[in-house]
Amino acid sequence: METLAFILTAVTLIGLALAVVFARRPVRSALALIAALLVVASAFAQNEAPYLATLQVLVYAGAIMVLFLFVIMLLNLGPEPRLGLPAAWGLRLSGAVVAMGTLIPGVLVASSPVVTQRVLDGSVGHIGALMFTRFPFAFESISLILLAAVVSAITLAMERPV
Amino acid sequence: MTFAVTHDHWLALAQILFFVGLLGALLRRNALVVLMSIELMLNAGNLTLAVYGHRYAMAETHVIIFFLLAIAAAEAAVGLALMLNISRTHDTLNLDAMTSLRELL
Repeated sequence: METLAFILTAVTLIGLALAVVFARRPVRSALALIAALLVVASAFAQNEAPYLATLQVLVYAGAIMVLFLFVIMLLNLGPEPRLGLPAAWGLRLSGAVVAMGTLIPGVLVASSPVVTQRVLDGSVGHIGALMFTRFPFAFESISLILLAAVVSAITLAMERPV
Repeated sequence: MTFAVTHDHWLALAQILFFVGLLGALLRRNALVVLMSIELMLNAGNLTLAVYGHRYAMAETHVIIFFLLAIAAAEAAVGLALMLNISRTHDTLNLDAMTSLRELL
């Protein structure tokens, strides 16, 4: 059952990611990205992170992707004439392949067995307690970052700069 | 379908997802699609963290992913405001057309 769920998740996730990258219309990229983010939420749930799965649906697939769709509608983007390959695309492609090749040893090292006595508690209560006891400084910094992002986004998007 | 799913399979899936996002970020010329590819890579990173959190039974990784979600929201807001600004000043979202910083050199 777990295996079947994993295979379904993997196939749909990779297919949707390829659709994001290779769709010619930006709207289709965005819609495929929404579906891909929902599949990532299911991957979170399968790794015993139910709270994160909920957040992923609400914040990512909900709020962030609505922003993307709004911008696509505002800019009225049509289809691109062809999948325009950039200059030196062979160099870029091989750069990506080499960059990913350097990560493969990390995955291989990770495959040693783990002996742990603890049980993962991904509930809202436990995560909230951790957030306010072990990461209070990070929590406060996040509010500052969000404030800075809001101010800069409004300033950038204004017709006449201040 | 008789193999057992281990954390390595999830890590490999996250790595493939990161690779597809990297391909999109390097090969596409539409700035908006590049931004979406970067979101894909960010999600691959989040998935990796969640898998390691499951593997070592550490809920701290969940807190970190929570913060990363907030940072992703901030990044998307600023990035999309930049897109609006760029399309207003350049009349295009093609990355090859944005050379004004290079011409300063």
